[in-house]
Formats: sequence, C-alpha cells, structure tokens
Amino acid sequence: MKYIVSELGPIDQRLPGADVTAVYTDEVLQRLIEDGYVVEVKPPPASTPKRADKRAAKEAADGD
Amino acid sequence: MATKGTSQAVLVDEFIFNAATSSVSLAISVAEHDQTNIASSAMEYTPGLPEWRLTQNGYFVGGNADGFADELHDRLGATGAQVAHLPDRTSTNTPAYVIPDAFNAALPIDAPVDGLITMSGEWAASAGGHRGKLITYNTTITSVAPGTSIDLGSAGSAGGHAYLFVHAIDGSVNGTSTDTVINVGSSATEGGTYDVESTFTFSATGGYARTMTGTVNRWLRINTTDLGGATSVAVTAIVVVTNVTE
Repeated sequence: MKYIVSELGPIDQRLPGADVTAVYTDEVLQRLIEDGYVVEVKPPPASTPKRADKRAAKEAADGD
Repeated sequence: MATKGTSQAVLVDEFIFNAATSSVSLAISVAEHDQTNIASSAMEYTPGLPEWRLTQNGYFVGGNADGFADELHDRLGATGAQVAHLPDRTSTNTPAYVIPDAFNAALPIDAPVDGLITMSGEWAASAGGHRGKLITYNTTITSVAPGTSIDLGSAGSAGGHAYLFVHAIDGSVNGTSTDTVINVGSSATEGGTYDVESTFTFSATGGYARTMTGTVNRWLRINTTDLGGATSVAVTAIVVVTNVTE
C-alpha cells in the first residue's frame, strides 16, 4: 500500500504528492488520512492481455 | 535589506523592556562530542544537546517595581519565567525564539561612565527553547473577534506549543480581570474553518504556555472569544509547530 500527501496542502513540509509510506506510525497515519492530508493510493490492477493480443497469440498457435 | 536592530523585542512574561535594553544576544549552541578513533583520518564529532541562552544588556533605570532591575532580580535563579526574543517585532509570521521556563543566571551591574549604569540579564533555559512564528505583537484587543491569520506554509502532524504574553489588562501591566478567553486556531485555508488548538483563560498579566497536539493546520490565528471582566487586553502570541517552525 502506498500513501501520499494530498492536495489539501503540505504536511510537515512535505509537498502534495510526496510519498509518505512508512513515514508515520499507524496511529498518526490514520489521523492524517481522516484530516485529509494523506491519501491512500491503490496499486493499479494487474494488466490483462488485450483481445488483439489474445487473437494474435491464437493465430500464431493455429499457424503452427 | 537587513532587519534593523531597533525592530527587535525581548519579552519577559508580561514585560517589554525594549526601552531599557541596549543589545540582545541569543545563542543556541550544540555541544560537540569527540568520537575520534584510532582509525580516523581526521577529528570526528557527534552533536550533543542544544543549549539556549539569551543575554539581555541594558540600563539601570531605577529600582522601581515592574522596572528592568527589579524584574531581573526577581527572576535571578528562579525558574518559571517565559522569555521570548523577537528579531522583528514589526512583522508577523517572523521567527520568534521562546525560552518557556527560563531563569536569570546572572545580574552584572557596571558603571562604565559617569552617570550611566548598565546591567544585564542572562536568560538560561531549564528545559530548552523553541523556534516559532509571531502571530501578533503587543496588540490591544477590545472586542470579541478573531485576529489576522498567518500562513506557515505547511501543516504539522505532531502538535507544538502556543505562547501568550499578556502585557496589560485595561491598560495596566498589573491589571486583572475575570476570565478573559483567547484561543489559537488553525485552518487548512485562510478564512476557513478554524480548529481550536489551545485555549488561554486568564485573569492576570503574565506569560502563558499551552501544548498543542495532533494535526495543526497551516493557517493560524488567535481568536478572542470572551473578554471577561476586561475592556481591553494587550497580548503577543507566538506559535511553535513541530516539524514546521522548528
């Protein structure tokens, strides 16, 4: 899980967007999230093969 | 342009002795501990604990109660004085150095020339000092209203300290009233919703200290919510936000 400073403004002189993962204790982090200064950034979902890629792979397999 | 020395102020509890002070020297020093070893190619040091000391040189202007000489003597070897050095009292949001539990460690008196006697106070810290920002200086409040905000540029996650110097009540340095209430509030935006970070309830002049906890927003101001029995109070307010102003 990743945590960054929100657009509400700097916190402890860390600018919005700064990565604060593992900077704060759980208790402080929870409070900063509730106060709006820190937001949790969810990791992007695992990429799935596109349909075209699947088709190309199938054609390549059929051509063998 | 450098700030003029005449823009300074030294506050000792309720007192402002600018007119009796000739020069000020604030020293924040850090001890150096030698950690050089037999594999070192040069001297090696590690920093120790900081020491705060404020030397206030001035003039003997009589031994009156509430005078410079009297108040320096009252605090000689006695902790509990709240002392602040303002390098620029003429501008808010400028650095303010506070020794919140100080004592006077020396009281030298000299007569270098005919007709002039000098004396000094040496404010030592019993529990360190803090670097904060000036919210307002010697402002006379006559109504229930918020003051002007200052912007620290960043919020703080770990609280801090708020200091209020009450210089006069109803125009008197010895004034008293019943429960005047002034709080320090913080907001994420100027003019937004201000959370109360600390509250001062007082009925006498003097120096007051409060601790702030948790998140402190970047915009700070004092807000007089009740004048109590006073018609006017004159105050200086300083705020220290951990990880932001110090």
